[in-house]
Amino acid sequence: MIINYSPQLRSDALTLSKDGDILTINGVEIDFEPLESGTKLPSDVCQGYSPFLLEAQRTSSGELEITLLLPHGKNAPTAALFPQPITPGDGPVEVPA
Amino acid sequence: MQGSPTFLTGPTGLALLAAPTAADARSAIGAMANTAPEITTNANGTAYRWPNGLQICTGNGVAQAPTFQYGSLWAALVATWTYPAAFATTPVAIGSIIGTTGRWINFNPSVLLLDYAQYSFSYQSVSMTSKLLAIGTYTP
Repeated sequence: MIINYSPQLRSDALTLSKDGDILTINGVEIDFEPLESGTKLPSDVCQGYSPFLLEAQRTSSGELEITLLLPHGKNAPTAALFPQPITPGDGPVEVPA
Repeated sequence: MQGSPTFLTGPTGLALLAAPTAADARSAIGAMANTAPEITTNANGTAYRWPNGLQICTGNGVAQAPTFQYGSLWAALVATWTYPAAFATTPVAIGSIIGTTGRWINFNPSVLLLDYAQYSFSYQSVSMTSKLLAIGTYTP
């Protein structure tokens, strides 16, 4: 699973954990296993799962690619302002802040 | 931007929000002119926040080409811009396409992000980028 972050100055926070194709976003568990290769979830469906879920697609090679809203504060570090994609292992995911 | 909004009662009894007056506009512009905004830049663009709650966000749109026909119009695939800073309510969005006057952009803004697509009256295969701008309020 590849996670892309889309940074936004805002007051809330993001917590994440991963278990296979299941991603838990701020306590909401989302199972992406049914997402077939070469398909993408419509953005309104993503927003229905979580306001932090911007995009979810599985590439033709079967890789799951997720884009999440990344909240940050006024004086955030570069890692939060210009975040890089990550490929996390299972367990809690460290979020740039 | 300053003071409380004025509500009027319409013929159906529903409350109507009175349009901003010239004094409101002068007040907002005065606040902008006299106060330096707080500026935040991230991967999604730049946000300007004034203490009175006014927020302006700018960003770059992805390169698009109107190659899909809808009736007599041609459209590009819809792209999404996540604002660099959160708005309190849905902002007003505008934008310009760099390199031509023969296309325009349609917008569907929400509080979180902006969906946009370039349109034209003819098939155009050349991809062009755009500059996007959203104006609204934030919660100080």
